[in-house]
Amino acid sequence: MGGGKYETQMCVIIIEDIFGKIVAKVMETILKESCQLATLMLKLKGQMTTVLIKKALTTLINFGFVTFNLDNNHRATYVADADQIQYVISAPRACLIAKTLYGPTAESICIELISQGRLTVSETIRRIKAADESAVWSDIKNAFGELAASHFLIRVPPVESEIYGCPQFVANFDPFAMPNAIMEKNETNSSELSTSDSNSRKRKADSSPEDADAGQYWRLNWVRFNGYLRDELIIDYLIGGESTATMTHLNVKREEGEEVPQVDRTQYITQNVAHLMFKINETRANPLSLENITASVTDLQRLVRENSLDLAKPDIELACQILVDESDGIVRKLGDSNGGLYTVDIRHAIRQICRHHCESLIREQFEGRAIRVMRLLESRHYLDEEQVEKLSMMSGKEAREMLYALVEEGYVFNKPVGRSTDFQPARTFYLYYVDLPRTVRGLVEYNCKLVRNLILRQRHERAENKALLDKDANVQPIIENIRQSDASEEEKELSIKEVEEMYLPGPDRAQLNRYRRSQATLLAAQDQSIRVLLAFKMFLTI
Amino acid sequence: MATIKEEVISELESEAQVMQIVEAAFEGIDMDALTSMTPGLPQVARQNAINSLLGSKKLVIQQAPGGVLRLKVNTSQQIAGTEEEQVIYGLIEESKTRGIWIKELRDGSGLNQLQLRKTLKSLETKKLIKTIKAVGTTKKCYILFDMEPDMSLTGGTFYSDQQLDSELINTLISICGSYAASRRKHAIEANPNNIQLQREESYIRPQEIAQFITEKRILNVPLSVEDLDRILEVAVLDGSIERRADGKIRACAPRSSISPLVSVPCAVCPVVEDCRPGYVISPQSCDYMKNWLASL
Repeated sequence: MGGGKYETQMCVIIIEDIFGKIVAKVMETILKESCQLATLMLKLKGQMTTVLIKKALTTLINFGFVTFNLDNNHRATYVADADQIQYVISAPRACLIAKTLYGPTAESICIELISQGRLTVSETIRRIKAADESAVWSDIKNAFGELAASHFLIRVPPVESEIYGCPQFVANFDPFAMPNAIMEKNETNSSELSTSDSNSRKRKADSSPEDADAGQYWRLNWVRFNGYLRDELIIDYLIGGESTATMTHLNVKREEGEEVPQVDRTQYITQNVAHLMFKINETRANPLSLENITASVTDLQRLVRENSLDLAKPDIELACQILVDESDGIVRKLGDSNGGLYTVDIRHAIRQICRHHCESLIREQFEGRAIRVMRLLESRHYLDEEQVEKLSMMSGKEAREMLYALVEEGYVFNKPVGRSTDFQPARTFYLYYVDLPRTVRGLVEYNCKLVRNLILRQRHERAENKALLDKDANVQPIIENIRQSDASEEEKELSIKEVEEMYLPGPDRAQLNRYRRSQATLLAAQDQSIRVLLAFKMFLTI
Repeated sequence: MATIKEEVISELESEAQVMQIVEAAFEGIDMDALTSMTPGLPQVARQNAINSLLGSKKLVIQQAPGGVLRLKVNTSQQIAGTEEEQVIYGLIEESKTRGIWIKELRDGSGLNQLQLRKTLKSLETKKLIKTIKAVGTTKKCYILFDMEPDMSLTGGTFYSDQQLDSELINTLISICGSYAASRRKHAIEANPNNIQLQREESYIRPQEIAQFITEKRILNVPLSVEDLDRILEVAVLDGSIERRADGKIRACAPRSSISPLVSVPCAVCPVVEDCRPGYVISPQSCDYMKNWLASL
């Protein structure tokens, strides 16, 4: 199920970063072509042992990077899931979403699930407790329940039976229902822990058969996270970049100092109303559904009350008006029922976002006038050189060169229409047109290359500065020790400085800071690129 | 035997009849059609009438594309000159503002190259016709001296010396944009609490901009509404203004956000096609990346 060349390369590099070279090699082979175990072994013959291949496969299956199914000859075929691998990059963002919505405990649940691939509820609780002793298990359980109820977590289908050695999964079950047995298990578990050591030793020996929810594995529901990310992207496009920001931006300039709350208020109102519009449809059956969101002022008022926001009816109406006015037709007014009916056109929004990225890239690669040509072709569909030249008001030479450059970069395509059957150039019209899906398909590949490069560079930087990082890792415990010592504050400060100077002199520290900054930038760029990639991929499914 | 009484038709009458028919035919009329339409006239009378009309220059004979000769009302102005000059003049006059090429003149008049050149020269010295060069071609066109050439030949206001005046266009586009933007800003400042009014007042009629441009003497020649429309159309494409259904325009909200992709050097890297890990051009050894990360 791999995509193009660069998508495969990106996926392999991501896997290599997590599991190392061997697993990456197996992944690469499967990404290039789905195959059976025997074929896989043949392809990797001489490079690694069968045991290693099998181990690598189990790891990959455990994390959902590889799936399997039975083919017509009853052989299990292993298929790579490239999308699943790409989610690894959005993992920090997923954790952040969980944290903002359901608090730090939810975040640690996500971290555990991402780092382990899949876990049972009890295991998750045990792991979090191991990492952070102050955690209360009922809190963790509640957070788990909340995440599951909002579909951010999903159960891995349990194995039902086996056909030709290939496990069959239960098809019909509620994937979001929390197991009831966690409670019981935890009670026995905690009593075991507190009462006797012999009991716990026994459990270890039996590989914990007493876990009431053993075998009920959970993983992150990426579709749901992506739905959330998509809403975020659209809201960002609606508010963040432009529209309302500029409306208020102009106001900011005018009333500097005197009426600042008013300014913040307009922005506050529009942002909140935009969020609420998406909240209405937050618990949709299919998180990536492309159906329009319809919201009435009455609905919004109800949500305002539920979320105890400081918004009156006129405020909501104003915000809706601003959104309708400045969203390029993404938000539209449908009618006056229920105090005013508004709709958010998801397809249009995604299309606009993709266009925005394309145009941004074009502006950077060429100049403003290339965008003019692009938009002209988009609105008029098929035009020949002369028409482009006339309508874009550029000289013949400029227009031609611009068109050729755009064709070369894959933003514009041309179609020869022959007046005669021989397509002789003199008797052929060359019509130029824009095919956004085709361009976006190219950009997806390009985006993957970009992410690949960012990860490679990040790895390179890490290798370059390895010595420094090791030093830093040595210094930190020493500093920590000094901090905990009984000396006075001043003395501590002094000795900390001394130690730092000794181990990490000025230039080294500067280099370390530079390294940290560049790591942060590279990570941020990866996250942003993956977000754009998500938008592109969503556009292609429209 | 009864004698058929020949109707005596006077020459004047027949002339009037022929004239009427030819006048009615916009594209001219050929002999056969004329004959069938004037059954009352004997052959000789018709011929005489045509000849006298041709002689008095009320009618002319022209060769239609298929080689058929057609009679036509002589609409061209009479000039003092030779027959050839009159014919050429007529053809050029007929082409109106669109001009006519020398090849078309030769086909239309039937004169040979030498005669044609001589005639054209003499007409030019008499200041009756002039030559112009069409935009984008090297073809010479002849046009009456006191005619203004058509837009399709000169390219319109935005051309000087057969060249598109890009600088002028860019100036005009930015003027339109900034005029609309200042109006929008003004509208927002005047009505801080009323979105409806803000919007309504930020819309302007294109004529207003035309007036502004004329007043400020940005353009020496008067800017027609059509020309301004073309400029505005381009400004709309550039995204600086937007147009409402009723033709009014307003400035778009400035789009400040740029795609995050652009901030990564790979987005504009000239050698991105050759970039492969472990080769001469690779992400590890990339100078663009190095500079980018160092500049933070």
